[in-house]
Amino acid sequence: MVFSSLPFLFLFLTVVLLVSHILPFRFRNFFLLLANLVFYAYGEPVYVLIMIGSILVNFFAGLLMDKQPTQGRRRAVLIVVIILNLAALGVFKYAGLFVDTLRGIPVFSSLPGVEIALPIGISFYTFQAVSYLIDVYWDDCEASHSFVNFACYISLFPQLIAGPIVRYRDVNEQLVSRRETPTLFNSGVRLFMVGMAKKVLLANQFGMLWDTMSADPVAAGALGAWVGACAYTLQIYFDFAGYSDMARGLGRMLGFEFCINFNYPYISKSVTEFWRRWHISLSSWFRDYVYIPLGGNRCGKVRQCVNILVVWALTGFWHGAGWNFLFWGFYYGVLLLIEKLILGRFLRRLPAVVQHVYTLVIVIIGWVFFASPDLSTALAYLQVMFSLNPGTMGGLNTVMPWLGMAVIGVVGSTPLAMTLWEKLRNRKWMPLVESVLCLAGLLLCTASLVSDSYNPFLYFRF
Amino acid sequence: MKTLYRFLPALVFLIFLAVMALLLLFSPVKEYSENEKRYLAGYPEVTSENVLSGETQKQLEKFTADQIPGRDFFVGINAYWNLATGRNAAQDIYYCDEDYLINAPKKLDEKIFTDNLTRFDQFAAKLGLPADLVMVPTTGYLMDDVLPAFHQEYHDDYLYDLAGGLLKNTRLVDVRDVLKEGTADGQVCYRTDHHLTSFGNYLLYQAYQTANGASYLPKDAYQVTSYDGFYGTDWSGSGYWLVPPDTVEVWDAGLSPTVTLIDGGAEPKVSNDLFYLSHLENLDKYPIFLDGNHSLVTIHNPEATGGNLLVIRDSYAHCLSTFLAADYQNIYLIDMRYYRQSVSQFVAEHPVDRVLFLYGMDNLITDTNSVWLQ
Repeated sequence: MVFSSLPFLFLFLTVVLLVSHILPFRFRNFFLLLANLVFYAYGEPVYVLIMIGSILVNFFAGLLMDKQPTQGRRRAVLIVVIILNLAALGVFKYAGLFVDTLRGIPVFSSLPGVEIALPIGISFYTFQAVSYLIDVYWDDCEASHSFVNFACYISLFPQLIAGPIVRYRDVNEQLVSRRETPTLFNSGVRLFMVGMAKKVLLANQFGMLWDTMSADPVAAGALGAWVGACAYTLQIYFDFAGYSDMARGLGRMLGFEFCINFNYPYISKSVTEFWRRWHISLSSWFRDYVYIPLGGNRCGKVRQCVNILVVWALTGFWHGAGWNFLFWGFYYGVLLLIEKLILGRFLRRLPAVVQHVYTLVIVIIGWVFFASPDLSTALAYLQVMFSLNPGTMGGLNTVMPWLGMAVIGVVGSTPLAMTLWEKLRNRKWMPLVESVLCLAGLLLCTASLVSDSYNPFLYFRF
Repeated sequence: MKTLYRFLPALVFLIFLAVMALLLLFSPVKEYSENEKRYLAGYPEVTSENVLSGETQKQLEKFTADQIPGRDFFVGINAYWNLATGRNAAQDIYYCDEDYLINAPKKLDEKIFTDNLTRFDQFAAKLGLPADLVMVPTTGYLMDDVLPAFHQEYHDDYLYDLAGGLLKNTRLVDVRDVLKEGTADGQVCYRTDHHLTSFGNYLLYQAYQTANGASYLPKDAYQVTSYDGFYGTDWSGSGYWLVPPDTVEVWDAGLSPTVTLIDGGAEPKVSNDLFYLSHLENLDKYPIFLDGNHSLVTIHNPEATGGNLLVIRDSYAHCLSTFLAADYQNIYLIDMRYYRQSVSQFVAEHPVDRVLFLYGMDNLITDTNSVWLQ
C-alpha cells in the first residue's frame, strides 16, 4: 500500500487513527503491529513471511547476544546474523543482477536465469535490523525483550517501505511510552499534508514530463533533454522527501518522532554539502556502520580515500540492483574525494552562485545515471544533453506549458516557504490559513489520485 | 474554543477522512458512469486466492477510485487545477478560447496511416468501382485561432500531402478549405465534441457532391430544429464541467427512408427515421444521428435518383449520411471497428456503384481495424 492512494487514505489510515487513539495504551503496540502487517501484506501478501522471518531471527539474535558471557562470542553471534541479513538482501535484491551479468560471460552462458521479485522495503528493514544488532553489540542500546515492541519497530508502517531508516536506539523509549498530544498530532497532519502535496501534486507531475523526454531524447533535443533531466531532479526530490515527510507526519500522529531525512539538498553549495542534506538517515547509517568501522579517517589519507570510495559505491548499490547505481555511487565517491583533496578550498572562494550551479549540474547529471535503466541509455541521454541537437518534438511547445510548475518546483525545493511559516506561525490567523491549506491539499490530492491512475512510487525498487 | 481553534487543521483532516470513508463504505454502489460511458467497479472479491495474487487489492483500488463520493467533482477540480498551473497545452484536451474543448494532436503514426490508406486503395482496386476518400480534418486544425499558446502542431496538412502520394485508385476529396472557410459563416465544429456540427456536415455533403459532379439540396430545403444541452465526449473527457453545452441541430429534409441498423448477432432494427431523438435525453446527443455506432447501417430511399453508395466509415459518417440520404437510393454504411464479415462479398450481394471512405483524421492515425477490410 502506498500513502498517496485512495484505499490508504480513506480506509486504512482512517481506521488506524481511530482505533489507535481509542485503545488503551497497553494494547496500542499490538494493534500497531497488526496494522503494520496488514499494510505490508496488502502489497506483499506472500513476502510478508520474509519480513516476519527477519523479525524473528533478529529478535532472538538480540536476546542471544545479550546472554553471551564474552565479547568474542557476542561478536560471533553478530557476524552470523549480519551475514544472514545480508544474504537475504543479496538473494532477493541482487541475485538476478549477478546471475545475469555472469551469463554474459561465455563460460557461464548456460546458467539458468533468476527471476526473483524484490520484496518491497527489504532494503530499509534489513538496514534497520542490522543497525539494531550492531548497536546492541556496541552496548549503545539494550536488546529488546518485548517481541511485540521489536516487531512493531521493524515493521512500523510509516517508514516501512521508503524510510527514513530509523534506529532502534532512537525509538526504543517511544515504543515503551510515548505521549500522543494534540499539538504533536497537529504538527503530524501538517507534515503529512506537505509530504502528500509534494508527492502527488509535484513529483507525479514532473514524472510525466521526464517520461515524455526520456522516451525519445533524440526527438526532445538538447533543450528538451535538459528539461527532462531537471524534471527528474525535481521528481525524485519531491517523491522521496515527500514520502519522508509523510512518514514523519504519520509517526507524529501515532506519537513517534523520526529523524529528519531531507534538508533542502538542492540549495547545497558543494557535493559534500549535498550529501549532508540528502537522504540523511542512509548517509549516516553508512557513516556509522561502515565508514567508521573501516577506519574512517583515522588510518591515514590513502586508507580514508579507499574507505570513501567503498562507502559511496555501496551507497549507490543500495539504491538499486543495477550497475548504473553502482556507477552513480562511485561517481559521487570520486567527486567527494576531488572536493576533499583539491577542489574544496578553491570552490569556497568562488561566488555563491557559481557554487550552486556547479553542485546542481553535478547532481542533475548524476540523476541521469540514476534514472536510466542502464549505463548505455544514460550515456546516450547525456550525449543529447551535451549536443546541439534542436530536436523534433516541438521543443518550446512541449516545455512551455510546464513553466508555472517549474517555478513552483524550484521555489518548493528551497526553504522559502518554511522560513515564511516560521515567521508567521504565531499569528492569530495561522490555524485558519493552515486549515484552508489542509483542506485544499486534501481536495487537490484526492482529485489528482482520482483522475490519475499514474501513481507509481519511485522508491519501490529499494 | 480557543484550544479547538488551534487544532483546526487536524480537525479538518480527520473530519475529511472520516466523512469520505463513511460515504465510500455506506453510499449505494453506482453501476454506470454516463460521463465515462463505462460500468464502474463494484466491491472487490475477497478470496484467499485473490488476496495472495494481489487481485483483491487491485479491485479495491478500482473500487475506491470509481466509487469515491463526488468522483466527477474531483475530476473537475483536477482539470481546473492543471489549467490554473499553466498546463493547458500539456493536456490531452485543450481548453480553448470561446469555450472550445479540442483534442490535442494524436501522436503521428505514419505506419498506421499508410497501412489504412493502402488497404482502402487496394480494396477500391479490387472492387473496380469509383472510390473517394474524405478525411475530416481535426477541430484543432480547423479552429487554429482559438487554440492555447504552445499547443502541439496538428498533422492534417502533412497527412493530406502523404495521402496524395499514396492513393492510386481512390480520389482524395480535399475538404480542408471548404470547412475552414465555413467557420466564418457558422459553427463548423462542436465546442464540446470532436465531430462536425450539422452545418459542418452540410458543407462536407456539398463538397462531396460537387466533387462527383452531382447535385445537392439547397440550404433552404431543410427544416432546422435546435436542441440545447449537448455535452460531447471532449467535455466528458476533459473535466471542465463549467463549459456551457453545445446546441445540436437536426436538418430535416422531410425524407422517410427505410433505415436498418444491424449488429452482429442481434435482430436488425428497422425504422423510417434518420434521427433518433430519444438520445436527446442523454448528455451526449450525437447519437441522435443514425442511433450512434452500429456495424452495418442501410438507408433505402426509393425516391432518390442517385445510385448506390457504400461508405466505409467511422462515426463522422453518422451525421453526413442524413444529408446523403436525399441523393442515393441505397447507402450501406460499414464500420470496420465492428464489422467482421467479408465486405467484398457484401458488395457482390448488393448493388453498389460507388465507394466512399470517410474517416476523421485522428482515427486514420490510431485505428488499425482496416485490416479486416477484405
